[in-house]
Amino acid sequence: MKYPGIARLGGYAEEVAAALRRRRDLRRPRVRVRVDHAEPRVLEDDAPEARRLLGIARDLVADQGGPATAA
Amino acid sequence: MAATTQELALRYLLELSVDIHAAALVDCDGSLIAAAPDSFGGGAAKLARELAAEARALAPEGATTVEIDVSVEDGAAFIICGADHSMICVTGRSVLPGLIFHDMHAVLTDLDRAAAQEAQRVAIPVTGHPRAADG
Repeated sequence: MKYPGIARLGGYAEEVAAALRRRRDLRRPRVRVRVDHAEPRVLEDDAPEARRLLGIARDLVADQGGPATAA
Repeated sequence: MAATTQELALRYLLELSVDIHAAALVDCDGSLIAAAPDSFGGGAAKLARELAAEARALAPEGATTVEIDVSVEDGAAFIICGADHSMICVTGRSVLPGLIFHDMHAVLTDLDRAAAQEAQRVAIPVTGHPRAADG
């Protein structure tokens, strides 16, 4: 019976770790800005405007985050 | 009190996309024009105005439209900042930004078209016409 080599197992582990990293990055809080149909850019996490926008958005989502009820 | 055109448009936006939980329209001077649903209270209105102000501050000189999406842990906020007004939407976490912006642009285009038609409407002078006497 053949066993996968250590290198191959290491490769699998790296792929899983990369997939988890990509998934975590996708769900990371971030601010994306697009001006006049140009390519969007993501603001740096520590940029003051990004921090302000994230703070306001957190409060607004907490206030209005649930599904809209019929008027 | 009867709903304004803008309020009806925002209600339509909420009908258009079940992912959009709340929406607001803010004037270029920072005052709230309309919001939906009815549970959009004073605190949320203040936050919407702050978001619009931050979005306007991010717009470079000469820019006509700025789109911003802010993803946080439990949801996301979308802002379209135009020359006349800004629209803010609150959604859940797992949404496609392109679709949300598409729906927002559709409603903004409708609002612009309605405003243009209103501006073009010519005032028709009311003229008295003879009415047959009753009886």
